[in-house]
Amino acid sequence: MPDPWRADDLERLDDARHVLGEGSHAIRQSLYAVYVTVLLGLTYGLTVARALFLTAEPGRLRDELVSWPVALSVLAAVVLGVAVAHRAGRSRGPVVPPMPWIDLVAASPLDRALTLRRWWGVALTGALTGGVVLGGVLGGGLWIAHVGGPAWLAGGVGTGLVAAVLVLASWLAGQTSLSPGQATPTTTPRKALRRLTIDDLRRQAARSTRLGGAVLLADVRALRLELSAPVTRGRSLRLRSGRPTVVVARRDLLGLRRMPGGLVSGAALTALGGAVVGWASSDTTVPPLFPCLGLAACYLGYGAWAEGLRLQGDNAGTPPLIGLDTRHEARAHLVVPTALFVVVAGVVGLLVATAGHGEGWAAGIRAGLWSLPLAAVLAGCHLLAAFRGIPPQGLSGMRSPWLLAGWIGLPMIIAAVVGGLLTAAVAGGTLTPWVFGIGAGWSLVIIGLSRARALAEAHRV
Amino acid sequence: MTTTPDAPDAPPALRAEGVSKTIGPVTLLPETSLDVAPGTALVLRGPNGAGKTTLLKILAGTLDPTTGEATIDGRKADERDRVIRATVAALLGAPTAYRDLTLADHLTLIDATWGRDPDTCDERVTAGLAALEIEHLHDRFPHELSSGQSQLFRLALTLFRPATVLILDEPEQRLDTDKRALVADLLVARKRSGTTIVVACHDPAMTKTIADAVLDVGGPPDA
Repeated sequence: MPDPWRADDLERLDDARHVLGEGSHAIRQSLYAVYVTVLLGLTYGLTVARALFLTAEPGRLRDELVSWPVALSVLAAVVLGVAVAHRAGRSRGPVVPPMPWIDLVAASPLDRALTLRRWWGVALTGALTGGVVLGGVLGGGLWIAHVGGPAWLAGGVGTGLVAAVLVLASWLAGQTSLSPGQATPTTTPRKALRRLTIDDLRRQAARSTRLGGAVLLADVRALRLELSAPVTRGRSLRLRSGRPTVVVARRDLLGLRRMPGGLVSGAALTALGGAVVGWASSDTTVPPLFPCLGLAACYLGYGAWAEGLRLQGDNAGTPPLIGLDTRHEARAHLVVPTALFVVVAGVVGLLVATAGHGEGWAAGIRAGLWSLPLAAVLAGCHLLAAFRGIPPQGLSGMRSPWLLAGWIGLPMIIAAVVGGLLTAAVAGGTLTPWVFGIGAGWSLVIIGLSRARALAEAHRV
Repeated sequence: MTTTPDAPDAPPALRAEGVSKTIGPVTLLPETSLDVAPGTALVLRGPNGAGKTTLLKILAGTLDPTTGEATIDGRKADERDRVIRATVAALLGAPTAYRDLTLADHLTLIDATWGRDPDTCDERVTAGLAALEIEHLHDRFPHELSSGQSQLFRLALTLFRPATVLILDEPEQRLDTDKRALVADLLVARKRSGTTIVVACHDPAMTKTIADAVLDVGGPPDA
């Protein structure tokens, strides 16, 4: 049925854009972003993907990619992406216009779906482009590395497209889930946009501005606190007193009971990473890229359990309230995430290695034990992350985005590269990677604790 | 500036001799000297930017002076020294609270890490919150407090940990008249129990209640 308001709304919206000095340049900007993304994917993405896939024997890699662990991993990654997108939508959805537009245009009697469609269009274009490019790069990389034929490119593009649509729909659903009248999910984007309230849009726009500021300043703490939901669970639970180290560990456990999302997401990421580590540590044909990605997942999982350590880092340099030395407190904060990691990654790694390898339990036990040096590597990298301090100046005296991104990502990169390469080497069955693994873990923990001490004293200048 | 001890022969608990702080061409604190006797309170006054917070940081051992030296019980004021850390409790800005702990949990954590008896922890935690009349907020999380309640919570954290020297930067911030009087009474009680106190304060009534001596910190006036 035609909407009698629509023609009038479109005309008034055009007037508003004209007053604000906006025109077709917004569309040109979006198209330019798509062009740059596709260009980068074709030039750098395909080249890197091809180089990575060439590190493995094509036939073996093809067999691995069509095996159930990889299929399940892809499915799990998509499900995780959908869940994360829904959660992210509650903090910052795909449709967040600038504050003046919300107050002056979206708040007017114009059809809200119409006033918001531009930002929805940008999100849709971005998600579809990202999904197609990512899928195309992976599928195309496999094709030109002679792992498969052109069907792999089509499959990659198709999978990327479907994943992008699912993630974007979930993102929007997350944004609208906070609005009143959400007994049933909305069926179309237009209906979802109409359900967004001015309050929700304003709140998300303000938060978006704060997040942008935190990103520009590389203020990891502000970013984390802005993204995390306020804790309200487990109010009646009480922290029990005891010996200092025990109480700090109990504090971390209590925090996880009050933030079960962190506990569950940490377990899911660690299980995912532990499965890849178990597989890679028992099979010499697995390309080193996989254990590196597995360690990245493990790093994120460990981090979900290490909130206490990060909060200690936030307090570095302030007058002491806790009666423990900085390093003692940091060590105490490592107890819970390390124990959880060893249990989850160790058990999952043991089961995967036992099930998927001819050696049976011997490979499983080796994979399970390998979680111990990996736990030390992750503990050391999280110490480096929690006590990273302020970002360094570049050679020009400026802090470029690349410098900030590298500075923030460095601990995860160290964990992924060091842990991943050593995991790949463990499959060879020699003692050398164990020696290097224990040495790397020990060294990283010592460096991390030194960093904690240095940051606690850095304010004295 | 010198506060008068009850026992005239007692050495000062806190001493600053010609301490100053400059960063480049900017003087944050001009040369300042003071002695604070044990069990007495010194109140720092002065306009914004005079250097009160800088002086407090130097006294607490969290900032190195450009000239001079600050000592606590004869030891150099340096927060890296375990003895100094055990001696000084300071409220210099807002400490970061654990967002996943309630107010009572925070005090329990502090209590345990200072090695107090776990069996009597609950009584001390209740008393610590009651002293600032926030015991009814014991199961609140820090983000659920008003700005005045947050200030009382920060004071509770600072006053709860053991210390013989207390350094506070504008404890009256965001508090209503009754709560300012309450905090002043608490500080007087701490002083009588032997704690040495240095406070930067803009409240004349509070200053009158707690001060054994007042130091007007010099510096540039407000711009």
